[in-house]
Formats: sequence, C-alpha cells, structure tokens
Amino acid sequence: MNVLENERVTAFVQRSREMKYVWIGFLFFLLIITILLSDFIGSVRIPIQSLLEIYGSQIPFLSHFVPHGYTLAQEQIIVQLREPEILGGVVIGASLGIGGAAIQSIFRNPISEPYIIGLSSGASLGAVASIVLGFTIFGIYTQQITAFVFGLSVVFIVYFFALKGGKIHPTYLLLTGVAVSFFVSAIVALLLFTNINLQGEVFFWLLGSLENINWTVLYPVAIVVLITSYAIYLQHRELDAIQMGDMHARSVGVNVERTKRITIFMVALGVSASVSISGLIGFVGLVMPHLSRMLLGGSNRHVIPASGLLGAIFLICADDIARGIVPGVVIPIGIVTGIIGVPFLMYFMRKLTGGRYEG
Amino acid sequence: MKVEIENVTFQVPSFQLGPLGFSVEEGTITAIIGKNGSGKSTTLKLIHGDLKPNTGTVRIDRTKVSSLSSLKLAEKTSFVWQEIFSPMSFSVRDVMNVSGYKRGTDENRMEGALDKVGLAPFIDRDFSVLSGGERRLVTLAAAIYQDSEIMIMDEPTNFLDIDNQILIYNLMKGLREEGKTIIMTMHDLDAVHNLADSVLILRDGKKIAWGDTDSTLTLENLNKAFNVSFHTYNTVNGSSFVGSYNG
Repeated sequence: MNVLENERVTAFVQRSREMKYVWIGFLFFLLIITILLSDFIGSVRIPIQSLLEIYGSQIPFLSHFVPHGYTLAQEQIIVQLREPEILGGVVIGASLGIGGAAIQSIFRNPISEPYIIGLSSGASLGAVASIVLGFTIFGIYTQQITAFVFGLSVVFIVYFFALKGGKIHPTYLLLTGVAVSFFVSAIVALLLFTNINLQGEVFFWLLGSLENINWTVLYPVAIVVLITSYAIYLQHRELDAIQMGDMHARSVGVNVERTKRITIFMVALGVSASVSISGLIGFVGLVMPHLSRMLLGGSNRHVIPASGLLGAIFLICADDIARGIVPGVVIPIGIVTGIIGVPFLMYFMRKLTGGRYEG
Repeated sequence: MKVEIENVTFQVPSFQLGPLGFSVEEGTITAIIGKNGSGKSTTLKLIHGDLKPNTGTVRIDRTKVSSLSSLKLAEKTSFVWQEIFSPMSFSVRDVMNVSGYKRGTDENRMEGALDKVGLAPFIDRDFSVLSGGERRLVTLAAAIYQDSEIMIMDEPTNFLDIDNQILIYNLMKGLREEGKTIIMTMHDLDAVHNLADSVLILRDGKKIAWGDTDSTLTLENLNKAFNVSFHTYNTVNGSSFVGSYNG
C-alpha cells in the first residue's frame, strides 16, 4: 500500500470516527431493514403485502384496521417460525457482540471473546451431557437449561480459581479460562467418544443454529440479554479506564474489582442464556467489537452499542444464508460464519484499515 | 494536603524497602532519586496505596491511604505512570475522558490541560500512533485534567526531548504555585536541584538521606547512593554544578 493510499485510509477512518452517532443510527436502521428482508427468506415465498398485513395484525389497536388477506399457513410461518428465529438472531448476536467488547476491555486483549472464560466449554458439557445421558428433568427444555447452568457454573469455577487476594489479574484469568476450558472440553470429547451414535445430534448444537428457537425460549432469554446488556453498557466508562491498566483505572477513581465482577457476571449470564438456545456460535464475539472500533473509535460508550448492532445484523445475515443457500436444507450457522463470513469480514477489515489496525 | 509516611516497610522475596519515614508539605515538589531498583517507584506506589506496606502507615491529609475508596483517592491524588497500556483505538480525547471519571467531562478544562503541554490540536488523534514523548505529554495533561491536590509522577520526563523537558519543569513550577503537591521520581539531578524543595535519596531500598534539596543533594550523599564518583565542576561562567562524568 503506497503513502497516498495510507493517507486515504487514515482520512476515511478519521472521518468515520467523527460521525459516531450517525453510524449508530445507520446501524440501527440497517438492523431494521435486515430483519424485514430476512422475513422473506425461506422455502415458502410470502408476498410483501401479506407480510405487511401480518406485521400490522400483531400491533395492538392497529390490528383491527388491517385487512387480513393472508392465509393461516403464511401467518404461522411468519409468526411462529421466522420471527422467533430472526429475533433470536438479534438477541444472540447482540449479546455475543456486547459480551466480546466487554471481555476484550477487561483482558486488554484483542483476541479474547466471551467464550474464553469457560462459557462455551461449560455450555457444551451441559448440552452434550443432557443428550448423551438422556436427562429429562426440565422436560423438553432440559438441554437449554443444562447448557445455561453448566455454562454459568464453569465461569464461576474459572473466576474463583483465578481470584487471588480479592483481585483478578487479567492474564491469570485468561490462562485459567483456557485451562479449565480444555479440561471441560476433554470431558465433552470423552462423552462423544463413548456415545458415537449420538454425535449427529450433538454436532448441530456444537456448530450453532437459530432454527429451534421459539417464542417460549426466546422471551426469557431476551429479557436476560436486555438486562445484562444494559448493565454492561452502564460500565462503559469503567471499562474504558480498565483498558489503560488496573492501576491507572484505580488512580482515576474506578473500583476495578467491582467492575470486573459485575462485567464478568453479566457477560456470563447473557451469553450463557444465548448459547443455551442457539448452540455455540463463534466469531461474532471476537470480530464485531473490532469492527466497531475501526468505525467508531475505541470508547466503549460507542463500541458496546455498535458491537451489539453489528453482531445482530451479522448473525441474521448468516442465518439467512444458512436457510437460503440450499433450498430445503438448513446448514449449521457455524459453517456459514466460518466459510462465508470470515473471508468477507477479512476483506472488509483490510479495506477499512489498510492492514494497519493495531487494536 | 500533607503526605505523611511513618515507619513504612515493604518486603517481597527479592527486595526490601524501608523503614521509611518522611513528611511532604503542601504546595511543594519532592523528588525521589536513586539507582534503578533502589525502590523509587515502589515508594510512589506505597504512597498511592497500590501496594500495602508490611509495617507503618501512609496518610494523606491525616487519613490512612488504605482506608480511602478509589473515588476519594482519585479526588486527592493523580498518578502519572511510567508506562500505561495503550487502549484499543483510543483517541487522545478518550484518554483524557478516562481521567475525567471522577469530575465528569469538561471540554474547556480538557483542552486547557492539553494546551499546557502543547497538544491541544492533537485531541482527536489516535493515541496509539503518537510518539513515546507525545504519549507522555498526554498522560501528564490527563493528570492535570484530573485536578487532584497531590500529583504523583514516575519519571515524568522520560522519552521527552530537551524542549519538552523544560516545558514540563515550568509546568511543575506553575502547578506548585497553584498549591499542588508534587511527588516524583527523577534521574536528572540538575533538574532535581533546580525544581525540588525536598529530596529523598534511596539505595537498595534504604534511605540514604531526606531533607531540603540544598542540604540533601550533597556530594557525600550522592556518592553513597550511586556507584560512580561525583565531583563539583566549575563552568565557564563561574557557577558550579555536581556531575559524575568528566570524559
């Protein structure tokens, strides 16, 4: 890249960062458009007029004035299948993006993400154990609930292992997270190894999917994600300070340990709830915060909401591809994010930064 | 605000500091000097409450530092660290905003603080692409923006060229005139001699001398603190200064 090109990229990034609120507004608008367009995608084509009438029929008071020119089957497809799946994508993508931004700030490490504190391995153990051992304690939602409980439990184990003298040291927490994750993943592998006939069922969960999300599981998860995301956003100034070092954060007045405790707990709660209904969806929590920083600069005041919006948009698009690329077949979302999402985002990031982004 | 250090010791397996006892008066500049590894930065961290002494107490304004909350401590002291982590994609404004955590954002004061170090036009620049010296100046401006009564500085002129070193010396004098108390570590003995009201000399964690600058910064004390021999030189204009290297 020549000097002129470098200057062009720097000037673009500079201008982009000066328009923070315009970007957040644009991303919100883009999210709404993505949600609406995604309702069109699927094996059954539904005309736009029917779609708008179905939307109208769901709005209190307005529903009396909206014509009902759609069939019951079309309404069922939109309301019971596509809407929970798409809104599930919004909730899960947002929680992964926001969780990633918070975790990267705490660890001051650009390649960390929510899963690094043991969430993914714990949730996997819960889900796999419930399938392999045939748990039915919570009825049809046993798999989701055990994934949530195990995900949260492993984060607590990691946290208390890493706690020394009432303090959490980022590198030690990171190493503990990686070590415990390896240990738990080995148990998952052992369960799979000894139950080879169940691998197909488990495989889908491990690669993530929005297909099985319905309103019953989405409501509680959405409430948890909404509360935890807002709680994380409220810590944005503290997280900014922690990025400059624990001692610096303390010297400007931040209660560092309380901030870390609240943030880790909120990320664990939100992301555990999300993955419990979607399975493991990687990449979003790692990359969306970086994309937000490239567009809007590093302050968490903007990075947290932008990561949430980008995570939601990205996951809905990935799900659209997973549903639409092969007619009648739903591909696990992890495959889509990996094979299509990664090259696209790498190209985008390179264009945006000229390959000179240092985190 | 007075800072009192009473019989403080601090021990880790490979190093022992103290016992230290001295008192820093309000509106003065105190310099801590000594070899690398003599305990200068450790002393600053003990004063700031980042390290807990094994024995003794540190008091700021008659309150034990250990009993102060982070917010109270930030109200009373600011710290210019030798090194800080470079936060991801932060602008200079973002770095300054972090130091405004206690008092809230005030654009005028922020620009005023940056103006004092000559970096007001840099406010929207990316912090990570600044030179080492410019980053140092931003962290100093951030400490000024924090607006605490006591400023603790760990080698504040590191990475700075002569022009900027003199800018910082004059800035410190101005802050002293405003009533701020400055406690710093520094290697430039000439600057210490001209700036500091009192000096603490350390070697291997032990106090060699403490007192007002003129009576402490003597050949005898310096020879005890460092491995080189100090001499008094006469310059061409007839003044004299202490130095250790004569070619």
